[in-house]
Amino acid sequence: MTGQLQSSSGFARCSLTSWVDRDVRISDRELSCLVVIRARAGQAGALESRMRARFAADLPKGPGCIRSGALRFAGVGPGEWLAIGEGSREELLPSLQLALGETAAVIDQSDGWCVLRLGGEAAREALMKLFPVDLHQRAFTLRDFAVTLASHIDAMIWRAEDSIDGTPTFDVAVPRSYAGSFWHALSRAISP
Amino acid sequence: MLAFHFDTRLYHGYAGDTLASALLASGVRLVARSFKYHRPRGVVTAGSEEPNALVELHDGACREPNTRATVVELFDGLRARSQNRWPSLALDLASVSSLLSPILGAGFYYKTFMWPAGFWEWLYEPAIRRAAGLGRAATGADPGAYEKVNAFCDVLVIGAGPAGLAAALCAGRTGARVILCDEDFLLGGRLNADRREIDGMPGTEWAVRAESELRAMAEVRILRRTTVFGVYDGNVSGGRCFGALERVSDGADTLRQRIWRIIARRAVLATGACERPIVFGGNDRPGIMMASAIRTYANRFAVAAGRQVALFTSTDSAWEAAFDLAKAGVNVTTIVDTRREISTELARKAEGLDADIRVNARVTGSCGRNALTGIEVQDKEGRLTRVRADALGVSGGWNPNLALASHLGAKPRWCERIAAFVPGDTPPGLVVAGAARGSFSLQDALRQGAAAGAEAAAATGFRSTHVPHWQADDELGGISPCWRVTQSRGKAFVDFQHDVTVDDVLLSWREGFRSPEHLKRYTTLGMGTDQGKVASLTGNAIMAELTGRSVGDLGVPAARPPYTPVSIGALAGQDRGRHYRPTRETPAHGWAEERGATFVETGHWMRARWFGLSGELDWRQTVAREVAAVRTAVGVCDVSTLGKIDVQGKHAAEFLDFIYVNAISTLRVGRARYGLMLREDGFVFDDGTVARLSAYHYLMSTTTANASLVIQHLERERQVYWARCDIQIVPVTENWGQFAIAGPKSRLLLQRLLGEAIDLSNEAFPHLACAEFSWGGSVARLFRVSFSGELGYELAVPARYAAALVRALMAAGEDLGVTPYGLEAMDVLRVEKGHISGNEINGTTTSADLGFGEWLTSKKTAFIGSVLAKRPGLMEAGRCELVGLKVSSGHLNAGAHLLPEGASESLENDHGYVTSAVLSPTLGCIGLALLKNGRARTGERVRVYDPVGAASTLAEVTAPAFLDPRGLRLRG
Repeated sequence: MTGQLQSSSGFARCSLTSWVDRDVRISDRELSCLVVIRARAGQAGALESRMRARFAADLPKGPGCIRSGALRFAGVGPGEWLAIGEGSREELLPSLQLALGETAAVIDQSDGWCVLRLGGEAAREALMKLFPVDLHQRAFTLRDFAVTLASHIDAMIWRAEDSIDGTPTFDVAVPRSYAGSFWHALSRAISP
Repeated sequence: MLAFHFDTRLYHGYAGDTLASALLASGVRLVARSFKYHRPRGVVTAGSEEPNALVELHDGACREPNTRATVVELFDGLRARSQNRWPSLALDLASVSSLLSPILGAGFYYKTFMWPAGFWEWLYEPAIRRAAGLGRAATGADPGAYEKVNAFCDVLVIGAGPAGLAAALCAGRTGARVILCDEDFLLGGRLNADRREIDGMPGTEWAVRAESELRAMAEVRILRRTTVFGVYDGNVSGGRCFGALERVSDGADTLRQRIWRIIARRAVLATGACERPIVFGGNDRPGIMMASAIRTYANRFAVAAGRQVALFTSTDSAWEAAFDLAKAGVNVTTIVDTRREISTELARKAEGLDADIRVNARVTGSCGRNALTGIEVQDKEGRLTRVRADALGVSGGWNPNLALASHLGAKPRWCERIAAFVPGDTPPGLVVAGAARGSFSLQDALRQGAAAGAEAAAATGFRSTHVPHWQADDELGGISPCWRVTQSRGKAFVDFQHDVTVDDVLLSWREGFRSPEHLKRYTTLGMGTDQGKVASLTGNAIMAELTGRSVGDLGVPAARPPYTPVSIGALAGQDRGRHYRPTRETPAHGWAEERGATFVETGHWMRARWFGLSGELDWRQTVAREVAAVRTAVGVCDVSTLGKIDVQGKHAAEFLDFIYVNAISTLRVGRARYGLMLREDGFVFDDGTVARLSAYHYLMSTTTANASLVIQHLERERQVYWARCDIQIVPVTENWGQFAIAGPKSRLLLQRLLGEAIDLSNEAFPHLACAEFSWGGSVARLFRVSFSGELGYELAVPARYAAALVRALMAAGEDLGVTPYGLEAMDVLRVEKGHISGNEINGTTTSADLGFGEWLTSKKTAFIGSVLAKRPGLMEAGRCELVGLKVSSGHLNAGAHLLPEGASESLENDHGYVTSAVLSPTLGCIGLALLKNGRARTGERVRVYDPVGAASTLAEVTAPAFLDPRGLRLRG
């Protein structure tokens, strides 16, 4: 075979594109990149200073996330972070590997997770049916990040920039194999 | 007007009615038959504590049994049915059991139906259950929908009576996030039931204003028709967890109910109080109800409970009810008060009342067939008189609704002033206000509610500058408790719902069951769906009197969640039917569907079992075709579900040596190896391959079933015993789509597909080689491994490209006869080759049993399971060992037992069992088995005995590998 393999989204088999609801806007963040960063033994300090030097970012010490340009770094466990970006992982992965060198294991998980973006008036209310996390404006800020279970499925949730009308926007990630089940639960949560 | 049906008749009611108020307004007094004696029963209360008026709501699959008519909001087209009667409510034949009631006391069934013991299960219990009982559960699938929602707040206010509204207003005004729940569809609690004034305006008006102010607050959520049914453990996100049930709609096939999981940092319990009865003979006749209920029906629903209303009381509150009734135009004819005297204040207030007042008197009986027509009153001199009455309001005092305050184990405290239990030490963060803590005056409820709301908000960081004061009018609240009338005629019911009488309590006392928990279980007092809200304290007070103790010393049974019944449908929520648990699909699932795959659930995964073609008669034919394709051409199988674990770090090799039975550190970069791991106890845990991608980078594979268990196992080792070492473990199963490409033409297929990307010649890429390379605009990983025994590869690409990859494989191999194969074919292939899988790694086998004994003894370093694997029991001769079985006639079932040829089927002759059995298209009926001393018995004939299939056949013992034992095909 010559040429490129064609990419398909984890939500490709869900009727996501045809979804129209006046109160919830949904988009497939098919091009999201998720890369696991695990500090090597005894390298936590060196990792932090490299992160600061290269990305001007202080890695969060607990659950939470920080932003550096188009990248987001989320604390997902002791000595474990997730770098989340948009676009080409063929760029992100080597740039992280180069920057972190021997201080961390850098493992691509971009295809392991599927990301949806939810916005609109009723997005939060729908998500509260699935996520046992307080998503209130005051409780869940742009610096928060939750690794949790949604409708019995491993899930991660964080806030993207508010939409133009001021309503909050959420990004949720679920393991790719569960995309269909999650989509079923989410669509039922939006219109029971 | 709203039209509704009760049983077969059509009635009308008004918006704002409950089913109970509409029935009373229509003159319906008989609404139910009792649980045990089938006695006629009517509405007793006007709230959720109702023990009697239980009906079936809706028809068919939507039927909701045991629905309390007192909480059902009337809607047009409502259909309700009475329960536990035959043929009709008015003529219930089973009511003859009342005649037997002298012998049907507590414990009767258990004492009587003891012989023969075996009859209990199939005769006695079913018969008793049919005779006694409540509504019938629906049998069809519920067409309605249910959902569960999480909610978080600073202050949860439970109950929207005066105390709850005051609390919500004070908390809400600070800007705190407040959730206000009330069971009723109308906020206000007793403000809607009593004629009271606050700040000079009617109580109802005050409640309406409070509600509209709360509705205007952005951070306040009001949940009507919502019962908080439990307080649960756990300091979740700095708050406590409450369960609440919202009855969303009355429609049968819409969203019916919603469970709220509320995490509240502070909670105000303002659940009010329930009025309790005075027990006397014949106290269950329809028409006899709580005095407060008569007051509620008159004030809130404009319904007169009767034309001649009598009241029987030991409290001032029933007199207040009488004053209200008089104002509403209800004819109160008689008031019977058990107290020696009433206060001068009360006497003065009662002057205007046109009623026959009898102080220091008691009601000793009632009459009427299916409804009350009169009562018998005994005055202080002991004279008996008959009084005509079609309704009797009873008031023995008030019990605070403190169930939620004791759900986390807090003991209630006896309060002599009100002769009732009040909340004791409440769980941290939970404050009780108003009647729920025994403060029955409206003024106290408002004051305590306001203070509790303001304090709860302040505790979460929202301070108020001003706590309002609301001025309420006065009401009398004197009480001198009377629990029962001793010299009365007829059955005196303590617990209406479970038909527990004073005689049952006496029997329990005589038989020594005297503590509240024993009384409850012996008599079933308080074990109905109402959980004894009306009855429990009274029953225990009677027991206290019998034992000569105070009620406070005796205590009451612990209140446990749920506070009111919760339907199972609501607890299941969205997760019903197929969605009871989530499903996992491989990235090529859509492709498999297109190819006509039949799927099988393995854990959460859906895996292709076979790919049937039109014209094939059955699955065996399909599987035979798929197997033949792999053996003669090339087949493709989706193996994405196998666990994949990325292991990195300087100590990774050493770590993996410790995990596996065999050595991994000797593996060269670019090579893979089969690995077997044990549990700590020495039995085999899992198997798979390990590939070394670079010096400090390994990729493990696991079985599908154990993918997450192996991760737990590894993480525990890493975090507990290898904490200082440099090891990073990341599960990467989801990230890759992986396909097995097996068969003599697999190399040709891959060469066509991968082209220049990798050299696949046997020299460059021999058996057990692995490589990572770029291809098709992506990274790809290739492993030369074989489960089928053929020349085989596994090719992995990031999941987003998996569907494209498998389509490309099919296109490139079309002329080679490339065939997709499923789990069944894979099973045939691996049994032919003698490879083990989950059937053999079944938790009882050791590495030696499965033929890997040398590894155990030859390895120098310690590994998990190495010590306990050498236990005598696991090392001794005579264990069952893995063998092959071949059957020439008959067939083989997994699970069948192996006996020596000619031996009878007895436990002593049991020499093992069949673990896997397949029908090979070329080798016939073959299988793998665990056979006692099996390896030494090659060539022997054994009897295969299957007690389930009732079949017996002879089989020849062989080595496990039927096909190519030297592995020439996979090295070719």
